[in-house]
Amino acid sequence: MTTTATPPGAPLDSRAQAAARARRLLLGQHVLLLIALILLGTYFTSRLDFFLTSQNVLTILRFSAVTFIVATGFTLVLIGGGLDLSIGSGMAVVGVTSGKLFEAGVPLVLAFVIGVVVGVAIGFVNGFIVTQFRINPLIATLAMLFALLGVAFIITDGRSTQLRDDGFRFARENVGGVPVPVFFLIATAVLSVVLLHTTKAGRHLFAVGGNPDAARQAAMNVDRFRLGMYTVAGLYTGIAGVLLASDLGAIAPNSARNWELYVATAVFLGGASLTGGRGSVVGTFIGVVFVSALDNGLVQMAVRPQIVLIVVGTAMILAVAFDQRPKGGFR
Amino acid sequence: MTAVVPEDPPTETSVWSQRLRDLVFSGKLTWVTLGAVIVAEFVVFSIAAPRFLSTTNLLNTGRATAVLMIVATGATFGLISGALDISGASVMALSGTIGTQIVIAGYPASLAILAAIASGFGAGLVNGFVVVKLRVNPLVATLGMLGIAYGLAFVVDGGAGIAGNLRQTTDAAYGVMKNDLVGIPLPLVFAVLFAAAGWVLLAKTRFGLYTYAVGGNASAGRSVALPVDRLRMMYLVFSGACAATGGWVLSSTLGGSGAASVPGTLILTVITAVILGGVGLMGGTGTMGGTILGVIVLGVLENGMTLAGWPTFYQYVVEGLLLLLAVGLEAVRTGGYR
Amino acid sequence: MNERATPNGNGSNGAPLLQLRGICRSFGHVRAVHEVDVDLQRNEILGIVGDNGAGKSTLMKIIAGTVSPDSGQILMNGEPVEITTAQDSRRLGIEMIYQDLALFDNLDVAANVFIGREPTRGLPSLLGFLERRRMHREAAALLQRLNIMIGSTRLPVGVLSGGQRQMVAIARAVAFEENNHILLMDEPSAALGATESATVTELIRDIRGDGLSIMIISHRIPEVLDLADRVMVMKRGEHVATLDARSTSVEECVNLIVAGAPAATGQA
Ligand SMILES: Nc1ncnc2c1ncn2[C@@H]1O[C@H](COP(=O)(O)OP(=O)(O)OP(=O)(O)O)[C@@H](O)[C@H]1O
Ligand SMILES: [Mg+2]
Repeated sequence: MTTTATPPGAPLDSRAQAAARARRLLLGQHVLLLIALILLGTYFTSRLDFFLTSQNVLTILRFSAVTFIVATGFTLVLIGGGLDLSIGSGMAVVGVTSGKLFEAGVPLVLAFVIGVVVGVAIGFVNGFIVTQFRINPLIATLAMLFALLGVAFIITDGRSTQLRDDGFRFARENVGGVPVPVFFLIATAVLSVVLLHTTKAGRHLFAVGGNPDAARQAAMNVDRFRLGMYTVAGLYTGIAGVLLASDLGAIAPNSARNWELYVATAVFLGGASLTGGRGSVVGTFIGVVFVSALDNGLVQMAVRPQIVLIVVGTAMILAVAFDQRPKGGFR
Repeated sequence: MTAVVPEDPPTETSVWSQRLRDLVFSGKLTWVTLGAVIVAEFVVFSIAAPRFLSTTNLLNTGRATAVLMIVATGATFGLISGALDISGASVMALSGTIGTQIVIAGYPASLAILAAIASGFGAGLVNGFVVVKLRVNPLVATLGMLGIAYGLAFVVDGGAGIAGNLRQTTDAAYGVMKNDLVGIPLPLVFAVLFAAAGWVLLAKTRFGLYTYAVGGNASAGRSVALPVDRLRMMYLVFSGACAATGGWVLSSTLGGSGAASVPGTLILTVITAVILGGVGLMGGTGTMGGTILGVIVLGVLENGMTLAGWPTFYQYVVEGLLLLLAVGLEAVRTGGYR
Repeated sequence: MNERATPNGNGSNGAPLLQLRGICRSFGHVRAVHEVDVDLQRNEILGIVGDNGAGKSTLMKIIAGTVSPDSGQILMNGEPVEITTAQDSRRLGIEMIYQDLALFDNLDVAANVFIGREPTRGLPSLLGFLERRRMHREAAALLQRLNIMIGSTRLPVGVLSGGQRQMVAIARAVAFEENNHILLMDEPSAALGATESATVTELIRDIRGDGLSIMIISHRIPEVLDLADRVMVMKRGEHVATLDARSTSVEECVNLIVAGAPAATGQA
């Protein structure tokens, strides 16, 4: 990467600026991650004939979709200087709600919409607790993790049940050979890039997360931003929760357990940081694909899924260590 | 601004405001609140479930809560020093699995116990290395360890634990925690000793004082020549060792355990207990006394709700609300998250 | 560990107590300290003055071991020494009062004064039992000796006023003066009122008599000229000049700080 220092205040050619922005947006800090992904792909392709077939790539993308959607919400929250540990439980509540509704005869679309609305409500509650009660987001969302897990179990009376009607399993369908979740993935990605990089609020979010005090001094309403970002993250939790339930075809309160590790790994790989103000949709996307490809490849090489956990945990630590190196890291 | 303190004796109001300040700062307010919560629990549960107040049941509560106490002791040191260690439950799983497999392989129980606890030292060392040398935030470092230790536990287990079926041993020495000592469950005895030792260590020794110093202001620690990195490493190792000890106690009580024997939510309960007890998230504040009360609150809650016939999952909701309440109190104390 | 080092150690060879040679340190593009030489004699008070960001604190932190130099050499009594951590400098008898005070708001006054050197009993080192009562007794005596007004040594430092905090930091630095050879003070009276400021000046004169060399950073030029033997002027990381405090006027000194070149003042 080469960066030529531009004298401050010197007007930039707007086309060059746009191009530079696009490049930074697309690649920038992700070059290393992309190289790693390519190396990983090459390795798996050399070991597994079918790894790079369109069939398998679509499978990887299908598995990426749910993770990507929640991970994008998580990224938004991290950029704004927050944290959300409740995503797994939130997805569970959303999933069992829409599954139960569908089972009770509510039309699919309505069950979907209500599930998403529940997700939005959860996100709003997270944001409300953090901004109004002034509770540290780590604890606020940890408490929500508990409370929501409890709610998911209460809704299902602690049981996991398989849905008898296959009509709920739209996430398993293909349209034009492309799995349905991939369309959701694309829609989420586009929506998030637009929100984050083209709107004023999106760009201000980076300032709010990077330095809330400075943002306050610049007359930004930090609390409103936070409430907003948690609510949007809730929207994504909602979509992902319904998709996961639909993919499983089950009402399962504990379906999203351990999800946090995968999501966090993908997001940190993608360059977001716990200290706020950093992160991108593209980075998170590459991070998610990386983790999914790792999972897919290792499992197909008959490596036990638990070893994948070890690899993923190590990958996350190294990603963060590497990413923080130039900035001095945790002191 | 000058710093002149008036020569004349302080007025009545300043004495009182000072006392109030002392009370709030010393964390005694938390103790009073927790004491009240425990009393309330006893009242409610002894009405809701007549069996609750029996000696047998109280001892059972102690047995069931012992592991939580041991792991929470380590977590208290970790968090006061500024490191939220969330790898505890998986380190417990790893420790129990290693111990069990070593006994099953025919080695003596003493070796199994040593190896089980050593696994926690190992995990703590790795956490410490990642935090201190790679400069990774402890939350992220221990999240990574959560995955790694859990995966390792399954590997050691040979995959047998996946379905949740436990590995049983008949080794009496390994399963020593099933026994009682003069009528008191051994895990409870062990936990009380552990908590007492933790208390002394934290309140009375240099090791304890430096926990607060490192958590309160690490950069000042470096300025005044404290070996901050080495200390951070030690607190994470201590935390890992406590988790592993808890893992072995659990495994011993069960007479052997596998990777799936430790519910992942246990670490959340541990953190809840510690934070209920007044340990601040940002490090530098908290006491062992608070943690002990926090553990009792949750232990009694779990037992009482079960006895009263409420399904386990209602406990999650109550626990979440309690946590919010506790942290709400802390937010009042510190002005809250901004 | 020897509890009581002799102040002038093996310093009979006539070399200055402390010498810095060609010290450089950059933060990114900022040259905080560039090719700086300093000599500090025994029993000397050396003032350091300069604009904000001139590199004064960085230079001091390099001596104290909390910032590592990019290049350059440090000598004590003519011998090269390795100072890479604050532990190193403490071992050499160097104590520093930091501009940000480096206090622990969550610890009480006594713990802050004794931190790193707590009296303990029983087990060695980290597992030793703190002698809290003794810490409070000695801290209270120290505060009294230094004329510091703080209600109780049991108060957490976080509740103290800015001036009281500053006094705690000073008390900590001089608490173990019998072990120390060099005291580094980074704006020790910045937050102090007139009375306290005078107390600190008095204190500095006092302890210098005990065989201690002092480097002191301050923006109060008249005070520095009055207190110090020599005054070193820094600008943009570079050493501009070192003046004899007695024969230099406030105006000359200010001119040097502003202009940054000795020639501009027409100094003889
Ligand atoms: N840790 C650091 N990271 C980046 N830059 C730093 C760091 N420490 C100091 N600097 C920079 O080095 C330069 C010198 O700083 P220093 O603190 O030594 O100045 P100073 O002379 O003490 O100023 P003041 O009188 O304001 O205290 C400044 O430009 C400062 O921004
Ligand atoms: Mg300075």
